[in-house]
Amino acid sequence: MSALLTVRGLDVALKTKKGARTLVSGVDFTLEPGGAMGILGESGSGKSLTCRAVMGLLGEGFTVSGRAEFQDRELLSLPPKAMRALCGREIAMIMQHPLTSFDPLCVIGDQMAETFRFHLETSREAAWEIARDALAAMRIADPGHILTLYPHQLSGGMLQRVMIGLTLTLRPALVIADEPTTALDSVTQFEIMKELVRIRESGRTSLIFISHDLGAMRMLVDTALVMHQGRQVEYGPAQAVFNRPQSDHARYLIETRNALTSRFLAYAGRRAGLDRERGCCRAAG
Amino acid sequence: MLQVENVHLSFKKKGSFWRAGNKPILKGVTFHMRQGECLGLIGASGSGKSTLGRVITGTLRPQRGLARLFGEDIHHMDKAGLFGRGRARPGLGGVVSIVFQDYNTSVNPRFAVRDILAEPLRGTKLAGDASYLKALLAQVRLPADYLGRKSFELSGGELQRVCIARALAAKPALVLLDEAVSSLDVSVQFQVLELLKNLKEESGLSYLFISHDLAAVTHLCDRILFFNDGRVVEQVDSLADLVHVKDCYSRQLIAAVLA
Repeated sequence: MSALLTVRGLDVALKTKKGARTLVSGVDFTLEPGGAMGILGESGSGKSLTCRAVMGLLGEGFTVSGRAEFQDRELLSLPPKAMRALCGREIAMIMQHPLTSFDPLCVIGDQMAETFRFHLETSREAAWEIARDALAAMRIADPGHILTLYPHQLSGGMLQRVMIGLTLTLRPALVIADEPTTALDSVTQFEIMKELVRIRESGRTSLIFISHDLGAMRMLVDTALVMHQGRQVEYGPAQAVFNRPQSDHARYLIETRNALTSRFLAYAGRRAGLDRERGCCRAAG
Repeated sequence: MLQVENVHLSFKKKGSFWRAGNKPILKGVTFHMRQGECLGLIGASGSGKSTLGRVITGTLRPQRGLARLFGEDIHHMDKAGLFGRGRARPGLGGVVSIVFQDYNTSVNPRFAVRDILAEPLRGTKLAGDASYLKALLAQVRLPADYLGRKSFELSGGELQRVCIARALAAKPALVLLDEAVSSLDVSVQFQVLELLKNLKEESGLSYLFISHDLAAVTHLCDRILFFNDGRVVEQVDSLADLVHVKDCYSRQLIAAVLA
């Protein structure tokens, strides 16, 4: 089976007055169809920049070099028009901040319909119908009403679900989720993670999950790539990276995560078993 | 030290005749906090945690109930004394200070670190005392030469440390940490929480830690209030009681983090 996305020697540089400044260098990875890869690293390590470079979303000030092959097409040399047709339909992105990803002046329905009309070439009415079905598929109550609301009228978790619904309706081959749960509270975070697990288990869509939260990543991915200061410091099967990290930085990230949660686990660790026994808690489900 | 009693607060809802009205945000919040204690307040986004924080800092007045600091109604306290210049409580310094979630927007981008730290000390001799400002930086484990740097020259973790140093500048009795580590990544989050823990041990500070991250709250606090829909729905006086939590929302939260 040929790989869905192969990235080799990806470099990203920013043009500055003092010359080009390298922000990401030497990133290599391969994503199989139906696979899920996690990119782990601190803020500013180049996680998002790598994915934005692959999707051609960086501005003119950036220089991207290397190779990024998606279904036998070289993405880095694709003309903007072809890339625009590909984005959304074949490769979709779930952004970190749902509130700033939507236009604050348009209702949710119009924004979703605009995307469906562009990619599916349908009428406005049909696009609204598809949008309603997309929200219903994300288990959002009263989707017809939600479509008539503005982004600020929805909670962060609800907006994030709208964005995931919008992304999945077009059945892309690859979804890039850029810290989709960072801005959310734990219960909503868990609900969104369950949706992402559902996408993964459908087997139709491959996933790149960007996060600095190891806990969320453990739930989802089968391959992990660790980045530090724009460089790839570790890459391999997720279990191996999480349980036997080879690089100092991966070990540091895993140890701090464990230290941060150790007190909570020591006191509440028995809770999960109790909730399953009582069968009361929805989130434990 | 802090007593919040039956605090009710609603905001006016805009809209047409039929839609306008009052939206209740806080629906009878009651809790007490001892001096030197670290109390965690945990709840979902939009549950009213930060609004409660604004009541405690005296920037919002509750329609019913009251919040008292050292037995005095916060809303009737002299604001200069409450936040910094030590007129209300001579010898003790300011009473309350705040560390906000978004470190980038909570400092003036044109200010150097020296000016950021001097803000709560304005009008006092300490504002121009470089050795005091350097000591503040040392408290948050930053080198003294950072005094001349601008906020954009610092990383997120460093800037949040500067915000913590600013909060400590007026020697407050209570520091309100409003989602102070939520926008930092896990490793920096851990460093800042360890710093707060050490500062508490060194200076006997009290923290009210508002957060939606249960792991971070349990790392720092010994007592936790679960907050949902404008009410305290569960109070955990010892972390060992986390396994005996009864309220359904609190149980969902624990289960979500465990999962």
